[in-house]
Order: sequence, then structure tokens, then C-alpha cells
Amino acid sequence: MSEQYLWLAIALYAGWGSAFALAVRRGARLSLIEYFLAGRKLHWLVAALSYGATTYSAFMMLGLVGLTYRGGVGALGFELIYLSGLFWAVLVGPKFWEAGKRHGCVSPGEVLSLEYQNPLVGTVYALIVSGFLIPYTSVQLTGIGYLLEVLSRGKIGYPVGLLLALCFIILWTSIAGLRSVAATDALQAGIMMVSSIALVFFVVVRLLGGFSVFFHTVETTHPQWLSVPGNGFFTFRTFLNLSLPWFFFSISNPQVFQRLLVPANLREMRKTITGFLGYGFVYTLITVTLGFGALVLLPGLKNPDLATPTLLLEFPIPSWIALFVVVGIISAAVSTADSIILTLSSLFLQDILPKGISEQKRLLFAQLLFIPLLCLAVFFFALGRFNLIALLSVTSSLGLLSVVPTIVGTFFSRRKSDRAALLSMVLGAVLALLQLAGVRIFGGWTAPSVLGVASGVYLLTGFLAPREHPPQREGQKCNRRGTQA
Amino acid sequence: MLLAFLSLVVLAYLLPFTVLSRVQRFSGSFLFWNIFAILAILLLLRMMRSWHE
Repeated sequence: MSEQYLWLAIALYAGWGSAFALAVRRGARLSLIEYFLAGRKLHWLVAALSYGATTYSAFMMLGLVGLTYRGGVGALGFELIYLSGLFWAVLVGPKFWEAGKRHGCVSPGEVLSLEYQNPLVGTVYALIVSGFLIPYTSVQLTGIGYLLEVLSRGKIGYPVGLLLALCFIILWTSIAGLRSVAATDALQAGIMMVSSIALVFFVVVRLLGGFSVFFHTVETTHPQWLSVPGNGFFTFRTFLNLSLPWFFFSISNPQVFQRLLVPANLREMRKTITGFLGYGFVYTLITVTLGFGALVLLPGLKNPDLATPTLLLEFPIPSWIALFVVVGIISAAVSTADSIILTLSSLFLQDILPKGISEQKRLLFAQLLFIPLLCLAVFFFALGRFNLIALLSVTSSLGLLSVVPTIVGTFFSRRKSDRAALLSMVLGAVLALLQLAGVRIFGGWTAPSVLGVASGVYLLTGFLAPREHPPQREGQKCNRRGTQA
Repeated sequence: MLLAFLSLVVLAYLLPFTVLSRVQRFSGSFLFWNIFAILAILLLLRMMRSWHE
């Protein structure tokens, strides 16, 4: 693919994205709620598209295509079980939203601090999710770096791709916070969907002879890819370890959990979730179909994560589709990364930074210090050139499972206690780290063990702990450094 | 409703690895997981109908 065309596509993407970001800045008065929650005034369609773009990262067109290529239909089950995990957003969302609005909270950690009557709960939550999300964010940059390097046949170096992504992230988060991020996300979600549909139709209809021929070809040449365990990749244990963290994704990942604080009312939240469910279902089907297409067209790939770029390079795909797909993948990566950076920055500001700093100074800290520092951390992590996009994405989600019992218990446990929350999160995170380091304490059942230990500790400690805290008092406020007990 | 949803998720884990594990066609696990997703979405829409402020 021509290097000049790639640069042109990137320039157009940068121009359009920045124009969108600047357009929504006009008249926006910056406060913490304005910057991190778009003033709770996002239109549901923008919110739904932004939720989609934030959720679906470079993992989809690179990692999930690769996972389908490697393991077959199990990848579809894994991703659709994730989609059904919106159940947790539906269950927890209204209570979380109500608590956030009542207390004026900006970050999920603030809500936890208030509900557990202990600011340390929010701080520990913020530290744990930040630690596990930095590798996941770096995966997004890795995707862009590899993509541009492969497609330009090495002329656009890997670090250049990383730096480009960093520029977009810093620029679009700084312009107007979530408002600009959501506007660019909505544009990017559109690009992701249209480009992937164009590619899949070209691959299936033009290169493989139509859908019925495609189905027949896969069934006859790769039948084992159509069942699980099938070719042996998706054993039940692997499937459970991969899918369980993602079943809880909508509450365990703060960048999407925080979005539940954004809607103006529950009707808007319902429309946002409904819109996202439709988007997610279609996008998943397209991506998995592309994986099967790559399997037929490109047998024997050494690195399945590169199936999509290799398709673009090896087959006569029209330049406009190929460039559109490249921009779509960059969009998916940037839209996820900038939302994570924004959320982590809100967690640092509201849950880790000491009290007594004014709102305006906090915003300056976010724009001039936290966001650039987080970007640097992500950049250096990505320089490690980790090959395993799918694996790194899922292992991040494994660590985030440790906060799930605390979040669910916040709204549904009659015996909730701050000690239970703290112990559960810390022990769950330690167990996840041990397993990521290769210690197989529970015989390789990584996700169930993290969730089981965190839940067990939460329930047991909550049951044993004396009921020290009075019920939630009205009139408490978070924000501008969180909890006023 | 909650029970129906959670039962559906359990089936999404169990059926492809048992009853459908020998069906190596698109009409096997591929179709099943699509139907599962559609049913899950419909149940979620019904659950959201009960929301009130």
C-alpha cells in the first residue's frame, strides 16, 4: 500500500476528528462535570456511538479476527457473551447513575467512596484499575504501530504509529474532555462500522464468490473451526477464562462504567444501551465473518493478529476500502485509548489527589500533567512490541474482575462494608497478578478463581464485620475532592 | 426475568461444548450463539422497560 495514500488518509482522519472536537468545544464552560461527563448532556445517539467506539477497540479488527482465524466459532461465542454482559450495566446502571447524580460524582471511585463511607475504597479502586488498564491502553497503540508498519512495508516505523496515536489522544482529550472525545468517538464509530461492512462484503462477495459459497467453503475446508473445542484452541477452560472477564466488562472497565454517569435521565440511558446493543451485535458478526474469510483466503499465517492487514496487502482490495479500513482500525484504537486516558485521569484527580485543590487547578492538572504522563506510560509500555493483542486485552480484564464484587455489592449487598470492599479488591488483584506472572494456584482456571476469591472475601468479610457505618446520609457531596463524611 | 437471563447465559456456555460440539456447520454453534445474543438483547430491553426514576 502506498505510503503517500496512508499519510493522506491519516491527515484526513486527523482533520475531520479535530474539526469535530473543536466544533463541540464552542460555548463549553469547563468544569469537572463538563470535562469528564460532558455536563451530563450528551445526546443518546452520540452517547451510544461513543460507548460503542470506546468498547470496541483495535482488538476487534485485529485481535478478534485473529482469534476467529485461530480458534473459529468460539470467538463469536466469546464476543457475544461479552455483549450479553450489558446485563450488569442494566442491573447496576440506574442505581449507580442515581447515586452519582445525587452526590455530584464525576468518577466511579467517588461513588464507591461515598457508598462505603471511606475515601480509601475509591483510592484503592483507582489504583487497581489504573494498573490493569495501562497494558490494555498500550495494546491500542501497539495495534496502530503494527498496522502502519505492515501496510507501509516498514516505511512508517512502529514508533511513528505510536506517536501519531498519542498526538490524537492528547489533542482530543484536551480540547473539551468527554464532549470532544464523544464527538470524535461518534465519527469514529461510524467509520469503524462502514469500513468493516465494506471490507467484509468485498471479501465475501468478490473474493469468495458470495455468502452461500463462503459458508460452503468454510464448512468443507475448515469444519473444525465451526464447533468448540473444534480444532482444540477453545477448550472449555480457555473459553471460560477468556469470556468471563468480558461478561463483566460493562462494570469492571471504568471507561465504560463511568459512561453510566453521563445520561441526563434513565430514558436517555435506556436509549444509549439499546443503541449500543444493536451496534455491537452487527459489528461482532462482521468481524467474525472477516476472520473466517481470512482463514479461507490466507491459510498458514504465523501471526493471526495480522490477518486483516495481510488481507489488505495480498488481495486486490480497492484502495478506498483499504484506506477506509485502516482509518477504521486507527479510529477503534484511538477512541478506546482516549476514553481510558480521560477516565483514568478523572480517577487520579478525584480519588488519588489530595484534598483542598480547586476545581480549575484540578482541570489544569488533568490537561497538563496527568493526561501527558499517562500517555507517556502507555507509550513506553507499547514500545515493548508485545505480539499478543488478544491475550493482553483479556489479561487486563482479568485483573479488573477483582473490583466486580465491590461494585455489585455497593448496590445489592445488605452487609456491605468498607473492609470487605478493600480486602476483596486487593486480594483479587494480587491473585490476578500472581496468575499473570505464571503462578497457577487454581490449576489454570484464572478468571473463575479471581472472581471467586474476590466474591468470597467480600461476602465473608462483610458477614463478619460489625455494622459500623450508618445508612447513606442525604446531602453528602463528592467531587472537588470527593467525600465529605 | 433475572433467572431467565442467567439461565440463558449458562446455556450459552454449556450447549456449544456438549450437544453442539459435533455439529461442524454454520447451523451449529454459530447459529446458536446468534440466537442466544438476540434473546439476550430482547430480555435486556424488557428489563430496561421496568426502569423508573
